[in-house]
Amino acid sequence: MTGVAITGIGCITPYGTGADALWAGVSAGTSAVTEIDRFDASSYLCSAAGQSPFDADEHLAPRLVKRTDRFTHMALVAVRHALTDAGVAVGREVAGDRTGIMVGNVLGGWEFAERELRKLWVEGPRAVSPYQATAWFPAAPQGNVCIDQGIRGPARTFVADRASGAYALAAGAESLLRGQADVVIAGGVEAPLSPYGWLCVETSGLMVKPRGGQQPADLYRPYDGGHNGTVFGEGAVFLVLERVEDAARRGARVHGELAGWGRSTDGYMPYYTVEPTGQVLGRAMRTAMDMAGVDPGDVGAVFGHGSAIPVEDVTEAYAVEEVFGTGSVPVTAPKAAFGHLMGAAAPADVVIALRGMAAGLVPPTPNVRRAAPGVDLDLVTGEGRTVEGWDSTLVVSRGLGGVNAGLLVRRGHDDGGSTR
Amino acid sequence: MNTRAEVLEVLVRLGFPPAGLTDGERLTDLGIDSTEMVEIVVALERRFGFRLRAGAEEDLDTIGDLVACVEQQVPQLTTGA
Repeated sequence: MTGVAITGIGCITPYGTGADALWAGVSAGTSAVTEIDRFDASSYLCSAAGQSPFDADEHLAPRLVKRTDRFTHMALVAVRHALTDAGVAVGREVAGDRTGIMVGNVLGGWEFAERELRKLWVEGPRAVSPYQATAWFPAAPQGNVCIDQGIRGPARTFVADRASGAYALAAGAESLLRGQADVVIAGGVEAPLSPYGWLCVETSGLMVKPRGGQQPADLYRPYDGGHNGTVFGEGAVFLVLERVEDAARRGARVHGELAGWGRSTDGYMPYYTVEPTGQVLGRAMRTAMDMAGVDPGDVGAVFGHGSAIPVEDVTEAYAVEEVFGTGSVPVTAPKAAFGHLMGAAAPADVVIALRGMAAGLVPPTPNVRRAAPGVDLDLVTGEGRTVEGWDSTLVVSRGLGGVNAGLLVRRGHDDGGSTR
Repeated sequence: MNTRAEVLEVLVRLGFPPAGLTDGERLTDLGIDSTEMVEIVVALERRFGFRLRAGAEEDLDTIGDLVACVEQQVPQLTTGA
């Protein structure tokens, strides 16, 4: 057995808190992309996003909220929910020394940082919160989760652009298989909705360039002829991972398995684009499937990266075609309904895949009217697609410059479906 | 408002529940570490308009010490000047 069991899920997404809300939204194709009301985004390229209704003050003590950024708030609560869902308390079911945490994040905590840096320039250094130094950096959620949960095992944060969360999941699984921990919480978080954070997203060149008359829900169009960039969102998604035999021994409910993973890097210039044939991405996909002992014909659906950036969509389609053959596997990118969650994107796709396999329904890719030239995929659109005997899903995740990851997710057979 | 009430108001604004803020309460028992102490001292400085000598906060052990420190730094608060 090469994979690990997924025994807990914690989600904060633009649909709200919990995997039920996420699944209800994507399976119905309901859009959670709206105009940004967190700050005045009217002068940005794109003023729409997947905003989460999450309110830190409802969940966390004021002295914790004041010294941490929103991305830490969301991570803390999502991890708490994941552990509750798994029926695991660190220090009870597993020792702190044998518990690990792996986090994917791209931007860090800019909402906190830019507020304090404004004070630095306007009022001087004495006015800056002493917590600024520890609140903003990408590893802040990791450290705060360790403190909150008493975790004293392996802890790492992965910054690999939009593939960060996939890298965290793979590292979490490897940590278990190497015996470094008995429980690993792995996932990702992103809170890009602050004036400077959003500017970073804009200048990355990845943000959608809206065309006149488009509504927020229509902007994110993966694989569609009108694809023109990504709509981003905020959220935190964490999974509790355990070795399969450990989960069985303690009688845990198993949502599914992370059965294989593969990573590759394009190493291609110019760095802001990707290797044009999709072959290097295809290798990451194939590695994940080989590790799980799964043939292309066994994969019931591919959850694509689906950034709606033309060069990424087309090369991803080439990679899927090379690995699976033309039009031979259903492909979907449900993230277009709520926004690309960057560090949390791949973990969110894993959760949607688990729920989809349990329900036998591949959720739709919104906004596909006619596939873009070069995209010859069996795209799942409209109301989604019922699939019999769907046991394995390939989740594809990519970052800037061709940081590629494939995750092979296998369905659980005792999953009642209800998670927080 | 007297100095003590104003000091407590600053602490409440920094997230402390009012119930635990008695004069004899030790700052370490409230879980206040050196970083939070910096935040508290700066908040008091800005509220009352003084500047504490670097390192002087190390002598402050209780809530009552915080109030006394402010009164010492800003004598007109107690003299009514």
